Amino acid sequence: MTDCQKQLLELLDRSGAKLHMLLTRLTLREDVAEELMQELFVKLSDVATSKKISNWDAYAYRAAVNLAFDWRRRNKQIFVPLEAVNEPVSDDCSPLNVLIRNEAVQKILSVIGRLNSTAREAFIMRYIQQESYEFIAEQLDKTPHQVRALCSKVTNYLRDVLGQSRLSSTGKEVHDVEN
Amino acid sequence: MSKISEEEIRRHLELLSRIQPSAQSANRAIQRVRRVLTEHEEAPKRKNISIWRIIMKNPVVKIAVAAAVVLACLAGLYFWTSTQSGVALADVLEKVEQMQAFMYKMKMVMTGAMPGMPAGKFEMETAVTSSNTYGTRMDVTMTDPTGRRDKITQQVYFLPNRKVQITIMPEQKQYQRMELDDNMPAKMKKQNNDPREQNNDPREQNNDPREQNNDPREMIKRIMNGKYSDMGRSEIDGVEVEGFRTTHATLGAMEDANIVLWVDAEKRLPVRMEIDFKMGEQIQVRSVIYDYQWDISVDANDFEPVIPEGFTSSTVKAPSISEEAAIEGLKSFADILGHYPKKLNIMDPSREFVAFIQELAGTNSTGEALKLGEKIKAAGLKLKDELKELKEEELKELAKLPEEEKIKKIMEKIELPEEEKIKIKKIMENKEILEKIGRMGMMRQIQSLVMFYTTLVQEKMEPAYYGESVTPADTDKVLLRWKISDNEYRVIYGDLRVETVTPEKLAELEAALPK
Repeated sequence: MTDCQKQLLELLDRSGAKLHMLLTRLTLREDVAEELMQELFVKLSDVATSKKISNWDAYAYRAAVNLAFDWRRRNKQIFVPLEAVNEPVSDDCSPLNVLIRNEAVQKILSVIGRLNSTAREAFIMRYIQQESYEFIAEQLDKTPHQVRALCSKVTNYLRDVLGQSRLSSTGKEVHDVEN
Repeated sequence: MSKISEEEIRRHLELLSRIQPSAQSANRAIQRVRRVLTEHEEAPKRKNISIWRIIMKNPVVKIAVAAAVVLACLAGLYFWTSTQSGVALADVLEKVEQMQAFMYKMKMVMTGAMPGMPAGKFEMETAVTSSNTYGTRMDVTMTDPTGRRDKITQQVYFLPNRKVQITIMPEQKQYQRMELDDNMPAKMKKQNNDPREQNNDPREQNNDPREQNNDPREMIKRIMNGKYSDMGRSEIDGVEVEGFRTTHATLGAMEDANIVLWVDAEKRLPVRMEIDFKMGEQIQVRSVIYDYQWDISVDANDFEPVIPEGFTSSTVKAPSISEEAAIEGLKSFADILGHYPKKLNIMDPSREFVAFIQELAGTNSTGEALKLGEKIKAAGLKLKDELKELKEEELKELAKLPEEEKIKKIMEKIELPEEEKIKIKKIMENKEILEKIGRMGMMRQIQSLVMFYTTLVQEKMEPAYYGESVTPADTDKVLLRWKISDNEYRVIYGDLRVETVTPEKLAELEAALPK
């Protein structure tokens, strides 16, 4: 077994489940996540033979996000029911409401997909993967403060693109995402 | 869609963050990746390789290989020999090269005796999808050489980005992973971008399936490299077309070739191609390429092999087309058969090799060998049950016996007609040589050798091969030679030494050959 194979198998043991979870959350499709997971490691395997990667976890995470959003771009016409995934029980789960939420989730992901790569990675790590600012900073080679600022900008951007005006939505000042 | 409040955005993000894939899906994904990563480690380690597995370790693979060789030859069209310029075809090539993805279908009928198979008709239909970004996918339906089914199917994925070709064989519940040369993707890009940059040195050629499947870009480039005649206008399915034709096709084993390309007169894109040729006296081939669909929309999923659960895998290396690989092929052939192939055309070396294997097995045909294999397997299973009845001491005694005695004892227990027992005994007696063949990957080596020679012919490098008269003992006689420059020839001698010589020296060497 080559060193490269060993490294990738270690990465798979260490972060495979997490990467697969990330792919599932970004595609909302288990079958697609499985496919992309294989594609991800094939790509990593190709890279491993030609490049020296110092942080495999960060590299794999970035590649997984790119793969997932590439897939979303190619399949943007596909409508995916959110009830197919493990949604928490809600008091208000009428079919119509599920549909609206589903559409909203798709829209949010679509806007996230349009962000530049660093902002997108930071935001996904923070709000979809629920990582700490310190951890994200380490992965992106930035300071926690910079990551907070980045996430805040993305939140504002999402609100501007998707949201109602501040006054009509809540009538209050928008919460800072850092808090 | 209604607008979403910030609160909603946060709530949806939280929903997303709570999504957990099922344990089964996570497990499947991880196991699948593990399998891909460790595939190289799973190369089959065989003991007691059986005759039916060696003759046709996989008959489907073998027939596909044979067909691929034929198609590789089809694509090597250097026989356009009129004096006309390729102005119209230049437009066609330019348009075709702008296409990022396209599809076409191909029907091929071979009539005659393929190596290792009884004479008959072999039919193959292929739907090809080609993308500059992702690679090539071929969905193949063909005649079952064993005659057990009407048709068999294969899905072939040529994935240059991953440097791999994957062939899925649903009927056999198998898939094969063929590792491609490291330089292949770069070479393909080079070929795509500028035909003038193609590397035609056969010592550095590769087994590119785009060429094996009549990729229109490759075909038109080949046509433009030579000469052809304009057949004027006609009509195909209501489309006005212009035809280009050559009949000057003699290449390697291909004879009497007649090749016609029909191009949409308005759109300047290929509509249909018809290729007829003979290989020796025994095989007639007709191939039609049609139903081209240009500039289609594809995505990565179209080129993602879907391997059903439970399929077994094998990993092989793509035949390499180089001087070294050709020498390796000659050496292995001589090691097993005691002499070099008599000829280096597409069919004869395989035919010689398969005939040798069939002789070892005492069978007349591959189909018979396969049937025999099944009978042996069934008898073996029964025997296994019987052996369970034996006491441990009896088994130990059996194991201690010399090989010949052991075979005799086991044969006594197998319930098969005497004639078949003799054949099985013969197989078992030749086990060592068969294992050696299995280890060597002989078919791949023969393929490399033949492709190397075919490329020399295609490149007009004046090859000459003397396998009918030169043996491994003829240390200083020319076995194979070809021209590498105006003043130099490359020579492989009977003992497989290689040397570069002057034309004068070559003339001397060839004068010494047996008449």
